[in-house]
Amino acid sequence: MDAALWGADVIIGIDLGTTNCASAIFRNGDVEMIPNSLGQVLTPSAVSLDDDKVLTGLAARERQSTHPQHTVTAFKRYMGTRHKTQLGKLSFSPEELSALMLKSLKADAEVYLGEKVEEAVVTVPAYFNDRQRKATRRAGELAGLKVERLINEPTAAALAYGLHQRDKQTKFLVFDLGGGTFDVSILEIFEGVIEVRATAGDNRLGGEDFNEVIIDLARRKFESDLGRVIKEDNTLYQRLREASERTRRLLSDNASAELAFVWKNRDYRFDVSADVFETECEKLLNRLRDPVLRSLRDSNIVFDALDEIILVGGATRMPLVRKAVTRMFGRFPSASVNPDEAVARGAAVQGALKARAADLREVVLTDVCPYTLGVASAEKHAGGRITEGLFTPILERNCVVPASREETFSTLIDNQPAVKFPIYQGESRWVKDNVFLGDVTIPVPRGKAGQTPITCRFSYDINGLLEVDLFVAETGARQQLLIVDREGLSDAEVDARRKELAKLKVHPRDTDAIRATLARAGRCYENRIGEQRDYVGRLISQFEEVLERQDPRMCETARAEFSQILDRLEGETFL
Amino acid sequence: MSADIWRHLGIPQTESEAEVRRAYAERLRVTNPEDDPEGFKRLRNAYERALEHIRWNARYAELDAAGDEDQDADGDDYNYDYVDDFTKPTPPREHVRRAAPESTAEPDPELGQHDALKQRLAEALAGGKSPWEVQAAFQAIAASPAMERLDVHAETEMWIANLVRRYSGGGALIEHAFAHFKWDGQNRIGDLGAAMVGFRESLAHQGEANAFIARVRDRRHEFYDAYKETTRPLQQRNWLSRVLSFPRIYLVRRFLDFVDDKVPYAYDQLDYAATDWWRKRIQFWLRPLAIFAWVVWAVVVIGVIVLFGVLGDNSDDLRRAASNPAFEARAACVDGYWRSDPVDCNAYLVLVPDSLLMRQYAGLTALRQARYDDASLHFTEILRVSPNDPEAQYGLGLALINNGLSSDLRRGADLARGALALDPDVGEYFGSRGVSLRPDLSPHSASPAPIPPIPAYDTGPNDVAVEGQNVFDEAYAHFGLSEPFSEGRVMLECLARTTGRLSDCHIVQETPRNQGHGEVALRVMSTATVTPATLNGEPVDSVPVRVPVVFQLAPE
Repeated sequence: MDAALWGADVIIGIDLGTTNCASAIFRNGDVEMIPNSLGQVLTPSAVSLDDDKVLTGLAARERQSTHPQHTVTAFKRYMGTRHKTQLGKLSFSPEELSALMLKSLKADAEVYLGEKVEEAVVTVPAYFNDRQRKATRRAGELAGLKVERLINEPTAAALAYGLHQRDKQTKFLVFDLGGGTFDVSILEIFEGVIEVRATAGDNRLGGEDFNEVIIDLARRKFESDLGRVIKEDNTLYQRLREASERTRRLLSDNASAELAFVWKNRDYRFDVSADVFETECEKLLNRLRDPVLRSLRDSNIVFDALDEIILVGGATRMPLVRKAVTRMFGRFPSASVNPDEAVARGAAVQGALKARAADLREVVLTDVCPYTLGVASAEKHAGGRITEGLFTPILERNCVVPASREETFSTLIDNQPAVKFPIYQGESRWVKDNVFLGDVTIPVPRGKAGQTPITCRFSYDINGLLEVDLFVAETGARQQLLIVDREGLSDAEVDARRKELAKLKVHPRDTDAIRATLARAGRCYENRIGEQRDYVGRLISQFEEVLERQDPRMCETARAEFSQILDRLEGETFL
Repeated sequence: MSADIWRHLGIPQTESEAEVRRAYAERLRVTNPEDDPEGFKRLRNAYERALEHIRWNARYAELDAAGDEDQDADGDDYNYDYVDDFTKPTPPREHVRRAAPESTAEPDPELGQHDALKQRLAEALAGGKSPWEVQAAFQAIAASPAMERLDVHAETEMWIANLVRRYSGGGALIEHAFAHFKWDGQNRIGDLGAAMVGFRESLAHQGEANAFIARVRDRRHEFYDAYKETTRPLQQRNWLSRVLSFPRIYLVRRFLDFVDDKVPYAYDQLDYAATDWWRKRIQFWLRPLAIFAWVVWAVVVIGVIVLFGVLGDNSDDLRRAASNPAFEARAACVDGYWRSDPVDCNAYLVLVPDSLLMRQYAGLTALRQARYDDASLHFTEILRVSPNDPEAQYGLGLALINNGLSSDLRRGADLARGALALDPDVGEYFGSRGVSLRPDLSPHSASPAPIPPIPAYDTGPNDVAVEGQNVFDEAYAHFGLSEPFSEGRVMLECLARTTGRLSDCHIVQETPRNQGHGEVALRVMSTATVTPATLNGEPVDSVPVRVPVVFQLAPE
């Protein structure tokens, strides 16, 4: 096969998560995870600026508590908003931060595959709304990647799972609790068709919220010293977040774990027991139930007919989440998928399907649109009272995409010159609680109220693009609207922004491991006091001396030793 | 169209779901959503409709088979299960719910407790307990640990929905259930949510209609007669009473229109046959009457126009002017005024004493000719009719300043100053009319003494009274409060109007708060009467008044 031709066809799958990212490629009949420069499969979603040089991944996350003004994590939570993050002197939008992450993933993939990577399938939480999806697509553009397809995370996980099940006839539920979002999808596999039956979720619920619970515990514990400071001081907050993440992970295996952090040269530590943590999380666990019930109801599947419950996303490692799921369904969830990698693997499979990989037997995947789409309408009551701002659904949620539906409307008052169709996305009965997407106006012939039918047709395509067609049969007038990004930038602006991002210097890849270790040591130093601090300080200067000599082999040995010592000091690095 | 379904699927018509699914999966490899979206939409549509068709038939066949054996076995206890699961050929009719996996044999204590809680709620509703008890029972169910299981949750939700329907809202139960299960939020779509939203709306309309009918039943309500007419069965009326009721046709029409517009649910409480008869009667009589009235009106209007035309033809302005001495006098007055002739307008003013403009002209002429006494007479006369006329004030001021009496100087200056405050151009106006006088308004005159505060009223509003015995009962009914209401005090502040009503009421103080006392009091006050405040025997409008309302439990 021609190498150049093959190269143009490489489509990698990228899981762009709230806490961690991963990428994968389908080749030689199987999915391979792509390791990053540190040899790890997961890359933490963190961006840090170090003297105007960009750091991403683990090295950046280790700097989170030492350089809170220059580091950002969990920026996916702001996708689709106008939130700006200030890093040092520069300010970034969430999609630009995601673009930096995508760039580093792309670089990793290029090194691993030895060829240029220009196309990718990127995953988004199923319950991301239109704006958030557009922002993700834009992030791909800014990173110089052609985003072939945005695929829903639980669907991707199901694809990875279903690839080996395609000959069976099965129904299963994917329970995806990630760092920042929660999705539930119900899928069915029959005759080689993977069909998403229903999707529901909560795009503001994830592992980060569980961290908040621990931070809240700490705040109540040290109310007198830190009560106010925690809310106001970003440095302390980031340090606490980092510490609580560690504690939460320890709680997965132990009945109790210690939360320890240093603030203003004072050592704060207290024990969190698993039971206390569970009671505190009660509210969050309750929020898990609603989407599950809703998806079951929408999918028309009897609860007992589900063959398997598949847990995806790092937060499902928590025993209390597993326990809640077990209680909800009265059975144990499946442990057959790796919760961290499944999404990226599925995205890679989708990429291969898109590229028509020869060694992938044909699988057809149908997905649904997760939100209801409709227009704002008004209602006239018997007494002539008019209620405005009602939401009339046209494409109901969980219909299989691509789909089109029609609805007929009519004028509300006599001699109305034109009709305006504001288009919304959401589930509320009132449009003010839903997400506005755009509007379109069509002139109508003058006449009695309710006498002129106007046909409104919604077409939702497989990439989540909505097209609205209006048609007045009486005059033959037509009006069309393609919902494009309202806050979107023009092509020229995207180009300009991309160039600016390209100007930012990135640290050379081969020093990433050393940088990550140094950042970790720095954090370790700040988190200790007294003797231990001096010890870490000595180790750092020793290590720096070795680095001065610029002998790669010696550097690597010293680094390995150094990280072992650090491991002993504070337990292993987590991803 | 039906044939199209099978054509798109590429199979002959069938009743087997498996076949349809196989055909769909096969076609999907060719028409997949990636390459042929339009083809896929058609295929998907055909597939969904085929499945619908098959399930529909299967459901009917099953209902026919089940037939009459257990028609009333589950009565109003519908079991809307999540019906689907076509892998099992038989629907889950005798489907036994699987309990928790570890305990299939012995009864689960958690489920037992849950059932006991459900029992308690059902008893509270059946026994007509207070809303608080119902709420407590409901909250206990919502918080019970068994609700964490999805199957129990779904079952309980359905059970509560049925309970709400059976007890038509079940006191406050419907609101709590809505808040807990989010039937109007994200669960709005789906059979249960939509049905419950509809049910709640109809319940609200029902409540409004009941309150309206309760009001109308009062003899003093304007629709009382119409209500009687439309509830009286036709069999009970003889021909005489039918004829004699004719004058009420307008009232009945207004009543029925009102019901149509505002409270359509009130029809349930009217006599159907009587309402129908009245409707026919209104249709039959009022339309011809209305047409007739329009015709009469049109004839009158056209007649008047024609009459004017005829009169206008055979008369001319000169003759009309000659025949009218007032016209001549006015022309002379205007003429004389513009020529600055010492012609008096008095002749005209004798004929038409209330012409303010001519009187002003007369006053201006008098000022020009330095007849200050005459001028002040004229302007005083104008001010009597129109006290805020700046020209008249200014003119009177000039006349008083210049008439040589020092006692009038102060008043004249005040008047002129007031006029200038009202209209600063009034001086130019007088100048352009040939009055060259200017008042001397230098501020050597002392500022006027402060005016003592005038009491707004002598006697404050009093005698706040409530009409009728059952206004409070109506207010309770309106807000859905039950009759044995708790004790409380509300202090309202309202404006007493000269119409003998209170307006703009608001709550100043309420104990206990937020239990409905305030709303009830406000609603009752909208029908209360008051004796308005008076000043010198004249009623005064919008005087604030505080009204205490005390709620006491009736002695047993």
